[in-house]
Amino acid sequence: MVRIPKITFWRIIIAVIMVLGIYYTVIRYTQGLGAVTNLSDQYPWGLWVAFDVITGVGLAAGGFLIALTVYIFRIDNYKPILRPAILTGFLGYTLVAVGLLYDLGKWFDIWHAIIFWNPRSVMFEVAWCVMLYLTVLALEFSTVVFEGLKWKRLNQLIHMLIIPLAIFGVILSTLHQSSLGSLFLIVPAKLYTLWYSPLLPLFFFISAVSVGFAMVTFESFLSRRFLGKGIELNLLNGLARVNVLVMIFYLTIKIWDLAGRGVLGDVLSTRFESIMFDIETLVQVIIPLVLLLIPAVRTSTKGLFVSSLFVIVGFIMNRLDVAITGIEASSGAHYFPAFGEIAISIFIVTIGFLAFAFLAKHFPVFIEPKENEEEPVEIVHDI
Amino acid sequence: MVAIMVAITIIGFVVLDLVLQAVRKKEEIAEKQVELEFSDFRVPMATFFYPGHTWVNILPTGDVHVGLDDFSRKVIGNIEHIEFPKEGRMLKQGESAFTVKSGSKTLTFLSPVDGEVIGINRMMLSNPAEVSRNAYGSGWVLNLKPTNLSVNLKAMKIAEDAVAWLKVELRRFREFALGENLQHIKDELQYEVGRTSQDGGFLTEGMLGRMDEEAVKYFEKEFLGRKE
Repeated sequence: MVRIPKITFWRIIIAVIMVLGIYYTVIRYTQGLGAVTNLSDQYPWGLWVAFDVITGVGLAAGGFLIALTVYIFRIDNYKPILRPAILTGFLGYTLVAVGLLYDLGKWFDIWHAIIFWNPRSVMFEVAWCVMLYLTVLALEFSTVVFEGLKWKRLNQLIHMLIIPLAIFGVILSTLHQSSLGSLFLIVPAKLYTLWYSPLLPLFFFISAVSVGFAMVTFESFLSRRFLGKGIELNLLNGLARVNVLVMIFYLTIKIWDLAGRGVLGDVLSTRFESIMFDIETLVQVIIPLVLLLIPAVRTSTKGLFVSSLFVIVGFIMNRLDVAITGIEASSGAHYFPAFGEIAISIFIVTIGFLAFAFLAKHFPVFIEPKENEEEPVEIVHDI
Repeated sequence: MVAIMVAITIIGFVVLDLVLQAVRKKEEIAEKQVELEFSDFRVPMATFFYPGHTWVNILPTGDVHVGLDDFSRKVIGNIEHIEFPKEGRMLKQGESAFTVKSGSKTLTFLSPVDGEVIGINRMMLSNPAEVSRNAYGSGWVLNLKPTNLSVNLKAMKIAEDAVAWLKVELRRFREFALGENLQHIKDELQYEVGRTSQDGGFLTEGMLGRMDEEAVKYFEKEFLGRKE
């Protein structure tokens, strides 16, 4: 008998997103980019590159951070959040590849980077790093799939390789997270002064570390909200403490960089870009930093949720500002994404959420707390 | 403008979901007003029950876990805060051990055993869903190193004795809820718990929130064993 799922508000929204996403996907692949997007020769990088690719890679950084913590630093306490973090990373990078397939005019030539090498291009490095890291994440996550399918030998084989894989993954992540910032080093005259910096690769890497921790926290809340999973409050508190240090470091070198380049005064300018820079810095660093410095906030579920949301929204604003807002004035063209671009971006993110829910439901992504193993067998007597 | 649009979209989705959750929570509270039957209470056969409505599980290490039984959990409903004793503190059987807060009401629970507090379960607050699903397992409140266990256990009930005791307790609570046992308290006291229970049922989840201060005091004294 077919079981009809209960109609809920979010299911209706997801259905609408899926219908619109499929409709615009068909248009994009039958009529080309021009039929769905507001991209032009003056403005070839829009929402898909800025959000789905450049932002998406950063948001997926939690996977390598937790793998680094557990496999290399050997801090086993963080094991309960390792698998969800790796799954988030794996899905995040997969969706980055999907986003690229939408954005590339000749999407069918995406494999060219494998055969036709151009080692002088930053994009070549990013392409290879993302490809290799996606493979690493797939192998790391395969242990969960093999465990679920009870394929013991394959599982043992991957377990033997897990440490080298984790080290390789950390190296690749460090390379391409920073290289995404290097992409903008070739436009010093085009990118607004507050964002353009020779330290862009460093800023991109540090902010990816910060948002990686925040994403692991946020993902824990989403898992509780939609999958009924528990929150490892003490672990998230630990991540928040580390993030405080990361944010202090980020803010310090940001101010040092602005002062060193003599553009610190521009933060007080009333130009649109300066205002956006100020909002972004407040949301991404200053507000969550102040919040997380308060112990009561750092140890409360609400406090962690709100501060991680600030970091994530601020990070997204930062990437979109660098890729779009900061270039708009110099390009001489105005860009705002078409409805089709927005619909497809939301469609891609929704597919990520659904894939996470599906995999978490059918595979052992969440390890039950050890506490349960020691519980006495409960023989229940109803009265 | 793109950054603002994306930020507003994300915040919009989050705020919308928070509103939906708040609405659903209200609906759930209303649903919980459904009256509970005897069969809604569970008595694990290997767990010791203390008359103050706490339970004790002896761990393989010899330490014990102490928690709230199904009855007190259902009376309390949504646990918002627990005041734990400090780790290292020595407790005596029958002495105040921890307090539970729900809304504006607070209940004090007594220690079922003598012993030193060696652990507290913060998951009680961070993961209430898991805790209520597993009330006699991961839903423990205190981890104690007992110092007088064999004597303390004599004051507790287990297995069939615990079932019989809880039946009596539920009967007593019915009388309390219907006001039959409260003749000595001023007539003008209005017990909503009594009013809502006239139609057959006697206990709904979260009744504590609908008791007035005097009823809470009476409940603590009569059911949790708290001395004046």
